[in-house]
Amino acid sequence: MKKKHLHGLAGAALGYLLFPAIVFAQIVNPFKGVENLTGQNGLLEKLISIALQIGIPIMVLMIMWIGFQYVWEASKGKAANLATIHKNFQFTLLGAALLLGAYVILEILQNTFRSLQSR
Amino acid sequence: MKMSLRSCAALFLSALFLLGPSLALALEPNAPLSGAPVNLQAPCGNRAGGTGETRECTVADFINFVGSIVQFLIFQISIPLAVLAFVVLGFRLVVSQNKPTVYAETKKYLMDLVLGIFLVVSAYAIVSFIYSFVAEPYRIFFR
Repeated sequence: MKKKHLHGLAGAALGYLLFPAIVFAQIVNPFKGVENLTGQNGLLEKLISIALQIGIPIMVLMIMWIGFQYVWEASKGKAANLATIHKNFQFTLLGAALLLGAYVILEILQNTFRSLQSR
Repeated sequence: MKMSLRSCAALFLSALFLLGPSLALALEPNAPLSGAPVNLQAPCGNRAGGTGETRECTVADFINFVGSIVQFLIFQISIPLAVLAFVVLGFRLVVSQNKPTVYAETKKYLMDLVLGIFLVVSAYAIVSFIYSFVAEPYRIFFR
């Protein structure tokens, strides 16, 4: 019971502290300026850019973590663990390529269909 | 009735032959051979309350209509969905560390995705290939 009160108090204090920021900050619509679905400034490009904003830091952290694991397990001399880490590294690189290559994939698909279309 | 490969091929070819003229004329609506000139740029059909110029709808207009539906499905639906699926799968691969089941699942999804894109591309390519084969002679010799 007492802990609950404490949580409420902390939340209220945090809310009070954040209040000016909320009032003065412009809440920006992330999809502002989106005109169409696939073209320039399209919804798809916006979604990809948002995914990249979230994904790139995670990607970097994961690669760093894998590098750390490599060093750690190599220092202990466990070959089995190294194989697992190697697999993790491969799949992480594949995922990173898919994330970073999203624009490229988009361009490839669109240009393939356009070239088929023009005959 | 059992359909042999030969009879299937014969049916297919005759269907192609019959489709030829309409396909050939699909690029622009066909004008009548005689009579008053028709504005081919005008929209076809009877528009209720429309004030602009209209003309009669033809088979070519129907084929153009189907073509615009196909274009919408490809460029507005399947390409964005495919790219988003690639992004989501990449995200999954990055986030799920040390989970072999997730890796296997994601690999399967990736293969399915590539297969789906290949099917869409090949359907489009086959149709446009046959179209060019059938339409070009008509366009050259019968206009």
